[in-house]
Amino acid sequence: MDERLEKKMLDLEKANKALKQSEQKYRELVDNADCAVIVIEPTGYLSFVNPKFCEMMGYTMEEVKKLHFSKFLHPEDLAMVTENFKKKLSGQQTPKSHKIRALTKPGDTIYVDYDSSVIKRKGRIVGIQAVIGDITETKKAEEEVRESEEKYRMLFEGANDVILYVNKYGKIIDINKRVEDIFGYRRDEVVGKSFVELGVLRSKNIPRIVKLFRELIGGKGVISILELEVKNKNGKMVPIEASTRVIKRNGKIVGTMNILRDISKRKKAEEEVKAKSQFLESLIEQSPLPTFVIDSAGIVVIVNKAFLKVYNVPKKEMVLGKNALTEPENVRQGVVKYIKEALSGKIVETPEIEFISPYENEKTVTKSRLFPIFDTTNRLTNVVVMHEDITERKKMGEKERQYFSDLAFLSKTAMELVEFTSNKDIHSYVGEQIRQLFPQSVVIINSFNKTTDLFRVRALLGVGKLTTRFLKILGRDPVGMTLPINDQARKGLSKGELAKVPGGLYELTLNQIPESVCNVLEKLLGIDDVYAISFIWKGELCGSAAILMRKGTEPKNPKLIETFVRQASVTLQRLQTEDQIKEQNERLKELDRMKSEFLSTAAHELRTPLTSILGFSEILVKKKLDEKKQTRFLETINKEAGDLADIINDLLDVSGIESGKGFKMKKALIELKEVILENVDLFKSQTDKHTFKMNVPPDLSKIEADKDRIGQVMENILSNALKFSPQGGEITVSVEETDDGVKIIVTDKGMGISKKDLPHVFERFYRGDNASSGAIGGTGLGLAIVKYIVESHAGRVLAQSKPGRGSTFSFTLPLGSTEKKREGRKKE
Amino acid sequence: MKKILVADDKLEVVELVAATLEGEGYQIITASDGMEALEKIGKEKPDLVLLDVIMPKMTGLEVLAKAKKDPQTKDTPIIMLTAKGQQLDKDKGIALGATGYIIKPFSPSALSKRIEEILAGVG
Repeated sequence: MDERLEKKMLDLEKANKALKQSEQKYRELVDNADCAVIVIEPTGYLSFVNPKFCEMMGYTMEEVKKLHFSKFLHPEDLAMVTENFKKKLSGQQTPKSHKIRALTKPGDTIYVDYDSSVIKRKGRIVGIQAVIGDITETKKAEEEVRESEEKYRMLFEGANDVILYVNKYGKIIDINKRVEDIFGYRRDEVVGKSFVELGVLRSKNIPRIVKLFRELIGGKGVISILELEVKNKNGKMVPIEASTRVIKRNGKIVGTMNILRDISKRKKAEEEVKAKSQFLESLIEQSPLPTFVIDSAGIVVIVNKAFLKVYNVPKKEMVLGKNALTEPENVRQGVVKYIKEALSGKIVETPEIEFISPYENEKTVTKSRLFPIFDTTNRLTNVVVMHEDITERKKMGEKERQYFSDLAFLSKTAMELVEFTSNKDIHSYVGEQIRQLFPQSVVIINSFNKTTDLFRVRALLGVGKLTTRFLKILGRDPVGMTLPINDQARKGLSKGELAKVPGGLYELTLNQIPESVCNVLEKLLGIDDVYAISFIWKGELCGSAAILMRKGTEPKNPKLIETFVRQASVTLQRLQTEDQIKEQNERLKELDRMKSEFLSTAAHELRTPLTSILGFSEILVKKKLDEKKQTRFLETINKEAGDLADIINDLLDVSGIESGKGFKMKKALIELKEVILENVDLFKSQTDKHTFKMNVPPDLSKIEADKDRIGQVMENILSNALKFSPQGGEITVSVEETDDGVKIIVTDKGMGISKKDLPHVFERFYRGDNASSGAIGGTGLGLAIVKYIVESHAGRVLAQSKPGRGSTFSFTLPLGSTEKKREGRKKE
Repeated sequence: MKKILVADDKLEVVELVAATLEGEGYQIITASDGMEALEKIGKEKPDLVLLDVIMPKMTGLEVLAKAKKDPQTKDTPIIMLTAKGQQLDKDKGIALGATGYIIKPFSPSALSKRIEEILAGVG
């Protein structure tokens, strides 16, 4: 081989080898490139693609080679790219690179940077080669930035507040459109100017605002919020809240971003709230209801003057700011639990609460209403504690209740008292009523008899279970006991008022029960004080009530008991009077009965002697009788006429006694013994059944008396002694002489007088059972006359008797009568 | 001879009746109380009885009632002597079967006439 050739061959081979190496290098470069590389034939088909293109478009190498380039283009970019392709092939100038949209095999649109250039071979354009970069991510980011900017702009322009940017010199560089709505300025009127230049700030605020701005710009702080007023274009001040923050660029403060919020509505609302709360506070302050308000923690935030007054709190500060839950004495002891309840969100109505102020010892009664207050978010903010001071009202209520209950008591008892017709239960009734007024007490009711000056215990109430022991200690039933009145009691009971008995039970029993017994009884019953009140009507004492108060009780409402006792006195007096009238009536009836019986007895007594007188005188007239008989009949007539005269004399005497005229005593010094013996002799002659035993002192003094009348007394007594001992027996006549006078005693052993009759034997017309049966004659006048005569001599008569065993009648003639006789004797 | 019982606790009355009827042809027997009167009514079987109302031991009305109950004596005429003159006593007496009554004070001749009539069966 030719060396040159060989060298040429070798050089070619070398060149080939170098070319091959270079091609290899490029191929590797293209295959591994990060962007797609393609070669488009003039026909539009791709003669070369690198793997990146396949990866980018989602096709295989084989698929790509069969496709026309238009297949890879987004329809909207197809026309433009095709035209440029044609222009390029024809050698015309076209932009080197495009940002176009490509369609991938799955149909996605991707953004690519399409950079194409023609391939020339031997001066001829044979194809186009292009480098394609996927710029989808970049494109997306750009889109996002654009959207974000749009959004920001919308926000900026659409904001409710005025947003403005100020450079570090205080000039407004941007502002949104709200400035027109809120301040009335157009945007272009304010951009480029400062607030100070605009003249919208109050001059007094300018230094403060400028200082703040400078501090922000100077790096002291990054944000500030302040409220100020800005003048709008019409000159009206608009309250705003300005929020300012610094803007930094590359770490350097370049200006501020400001948000100006129109707070006129909020201000107005705040003012309204303030006004409302002031209104409420003054309402609470002026309210007559004691009121305080606490916050949710229990701290007193409002307290009104009514509260301070009612609770006697000297200073507002003693309550205000204090915790109502932990310092309750400042507000109310009783209300704390209700405050807690109200703090849990409930409305609380308290019952009546009694409260004693810690500052003054005065009792207050309140009813309270506690109600929580919530804010708009339904959060409890406060509790209002509103008291109603019902102390006075309650007092009034109590008074009225007391008044009505007293009235009811009095009218009820008045009705019942009026209904009483018998003395029997009145004392227990009165005692029970008094016990209603003093339920704890022991009550004793006494009646008082002014004739005997004796109290009689009529009722004892309230001893209850202690009765047995009470009676055992006392040793007798107190009911029925009589107690003689003394001056102390008379004085104490002179008024119809409830009065304390200083000497207790001992004094109350008018010292009739030993003091030691009284003390034991007081202890047993737990008695503290003893009170007494009298039943008085028309100035006359008719009884008393004793109220034994048990320890720890007080007699309240004395006026009520006094009124009741006065009412009861009327009834007691009425019943007593009624009883007296009844008794009197009975006596009158009895007297009437006795009188009519007397009339028939008297007729009988008169007719008996009359029968003899008339009968014997007729016989004497009509019949011829022997002298002896004539004499006897005449004697009988005479005796019977004498009897008749005696009866008539008795009748006249009694009629005299009854008419009140009586009969005169013809007193003279008489030998009593003589008078006695004369009468005894007279009766001796009339009986053979009786024996007479005389027991008369031989030296019996003379007395000053009516001889006939004393004789009449002896006659009547002896006549009875004989009449009532029809079987006969001994009749004793004794005379006893004492310093006081003489006593004449006549004793028989006859039938005696029944217990029932004995007290009445000296009553006129009264005739005992024995006498009135008719067995024994008599008018029933004799002893009445005896009594009258003896009493006319200032003496006393007495009848004693044992039924079936005999009777003793005695009478005295007092010293007065004998004294004179003694004097007389001395003179003799 | 007709037998007449006079019962009265007053001796004077008994004596008066006796004096009135003396010489008229009667036998007079007496009693001074109710008990004695009833006894004598039964024993003596008088043809007529003058009976005082008020007497000890037993009243005239009691004697009358008992005598009228006794079949032995129920037909014996009994005249009540009464000083009371009260309608009640009279009515009681008549109701109990008394033949009549005489009020004290009485006239001896009127009494004598009355007794005659009764014993003759006129009264």
